[in-house]
Amino acid sequence: MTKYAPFFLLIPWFIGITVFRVYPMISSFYYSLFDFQPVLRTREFVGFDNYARLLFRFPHFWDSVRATLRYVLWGTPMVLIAAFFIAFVLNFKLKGINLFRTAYYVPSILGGNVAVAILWSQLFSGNGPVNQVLGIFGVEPISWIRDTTFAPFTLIFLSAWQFGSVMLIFLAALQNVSPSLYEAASIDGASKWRQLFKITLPIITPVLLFNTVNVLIRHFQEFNAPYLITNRGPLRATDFLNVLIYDYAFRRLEFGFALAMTWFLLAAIGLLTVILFFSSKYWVHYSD
Amino acid sequence: MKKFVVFIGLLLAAMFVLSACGSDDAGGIRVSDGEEAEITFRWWGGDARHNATLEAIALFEDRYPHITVNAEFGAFGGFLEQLTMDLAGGTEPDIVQSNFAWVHSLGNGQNVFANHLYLPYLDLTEWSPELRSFTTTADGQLSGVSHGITGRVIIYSRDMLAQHGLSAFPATFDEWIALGERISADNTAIDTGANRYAFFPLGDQTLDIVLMTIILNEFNVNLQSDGRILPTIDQVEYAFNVLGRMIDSGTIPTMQQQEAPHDATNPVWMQGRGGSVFEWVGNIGLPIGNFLDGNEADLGVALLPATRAGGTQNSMQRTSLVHAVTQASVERGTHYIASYFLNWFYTDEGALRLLGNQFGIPLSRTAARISAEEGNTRGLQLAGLHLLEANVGDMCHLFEDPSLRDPRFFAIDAFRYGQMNARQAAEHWVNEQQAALR
Repeated sequence: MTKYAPFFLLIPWFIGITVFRVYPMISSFYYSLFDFQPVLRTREFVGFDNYARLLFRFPHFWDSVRATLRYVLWGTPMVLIAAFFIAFVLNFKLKGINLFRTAYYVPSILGGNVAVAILWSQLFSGNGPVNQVLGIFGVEPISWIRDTTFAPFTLIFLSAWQFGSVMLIFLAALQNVSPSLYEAASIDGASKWRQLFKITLPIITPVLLFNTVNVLIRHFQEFNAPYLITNRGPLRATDFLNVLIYDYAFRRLEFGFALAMTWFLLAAIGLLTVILFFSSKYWVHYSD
Repeated sequence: MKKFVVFIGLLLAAMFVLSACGSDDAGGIRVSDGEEAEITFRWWGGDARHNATLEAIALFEDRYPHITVNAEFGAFGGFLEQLTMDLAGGTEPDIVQSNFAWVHSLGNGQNVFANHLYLPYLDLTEWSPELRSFTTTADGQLSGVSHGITGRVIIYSRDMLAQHGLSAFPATFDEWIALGERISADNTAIDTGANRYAFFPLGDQTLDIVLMTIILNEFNVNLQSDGRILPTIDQVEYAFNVLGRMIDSGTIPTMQQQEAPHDATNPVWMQGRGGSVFEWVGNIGLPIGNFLDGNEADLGVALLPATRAGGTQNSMQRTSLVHAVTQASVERGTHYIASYFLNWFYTDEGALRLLGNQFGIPLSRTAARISAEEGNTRGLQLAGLHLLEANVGDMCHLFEDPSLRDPRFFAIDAFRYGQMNARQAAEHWVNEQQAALR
């Protein structure tokens, strides 16, 4: 009985993962092979035609891939840099530091909801605070949300603003770096910058990898900001994959085609994650 | 023995026939049964509509204590997604509110609700043939009942016109554009709170309807017929050129000048810096209420100008919204109760007085009479309704289908951004919609 007890204890987990993860994944692939009309409850087997349409007969999809990649490739490093920088500063022994740690975490709690969308729209409007501050330095007002060049970056700034969770993980990692290493480096005459690049960063690279993968996936899955703030525009500049999937599934009711897109998205995320893991042997340092 | 076999055979056949007759009614609970029953009614709207509808439901439950009407209500956002999922699972409420496009697009032209032609209790003479035509799907079924008809009208600032020496709204685009040029003379490239425009389009749909109305009025062609886009590229290019003149003259803001929000709460309109907007007559209260703190006396209504002097000024019109008994209700056997409630909702004087114009201007027979008696439609809304009645142009039932609308929106945006010229935008408008129709 003792031998099999762990397996019995795993049954609730197994049921959960089978019902809520494995089955939906398998069925989503299955339905991606159909012209599936859920409202009419009809389905016609089309094989891989949804995938062929996606890759070869649907130019809009590649516009969306480009917009998503631009968001991911700009947004991921910006979040990581902002989070690391703030965590680095918050790691100093300062009076009232916990207040600042809480304050910097607040945007992450707010998330990308309607209130934040309105706040962001107001901040970046024609006569909003951002343009007013820039105006002090003689910069002409910028159409942050209605200009095809600037709109994606407005969303990237929003993403970077919500660095709280990533920052906390960096902060925990920084607090685990032994002070003796810095003391030894100081005695050897290493500057603060040198300590940062030669001690701190190499030691926290496992955490950096973890955060990079998480942030990358979060950016690929971005939905709220383009849906609420830019309404996927202007001219599809922020029509990210997740919003496109939603559009085809729930507005156009092309579920099979939308599911094919989700599998493409999964493949893209998987590919970049695998590349990151393979590259990690060159830049991630494990203490053992 | 032979007679006995024949007798038994006839008996069985008779039982079969009679049981088949009975199966029509088998699952249906009738109001007169007195049996306790429960139905669900789902709608979208604002607080005023919710409160009025809840009061009407309470009145119904007072009169029919054995029937419970569960109310599911909320905002428009997410309503379609929820309905789609429910339809897919066969779990939709007994009565749902729908809009014009969904009636035709949810089932690719086929009816996904109950066929209202054969619902008991529903007195279809309440709805005129025109109202019924909006909810008749390609398979000839009646998929719901229309609440009323709506179309867009121009709501304009009398004061802004007077400042430029005009006492009436321009009747042609040439006059409108000339006015726009004067109004926007001092505008800056990015609106920092001082720009003024002769026309402020609220939302993506406004210019889409303007463009289609120009085509309809100038060439008398609608969007599509039998899967073929009817306007030619030349005709659409003509409409884009009109739009281009509006942009170049500053009559409408550029994309960079136009800030959110894209509804009547936009500061440009609220501060009186927009000379006019183009809004559904049923929703006219929103722009009126938001214009300079609700100063209706400063506003007037007009039709979209004609492309030439003496030209047609029809307005594209469609049903304002639809209420439908669902197929799931039929399957659950609650459709008798649902259709009874729906009929009551549209014909009971007490309910109609409580509801007022909360669902828009009602045009079914009894509802329209009560609305007139109560004087619910008045002022600019009444004036707008009269304009529509005199200038009918039907909206194609696929006009608001997302797969057709998105290419049009994109063409208009690309044109406004200067990334497509009028010809390219027209080609995109025609060809992409044609591709979507295939």
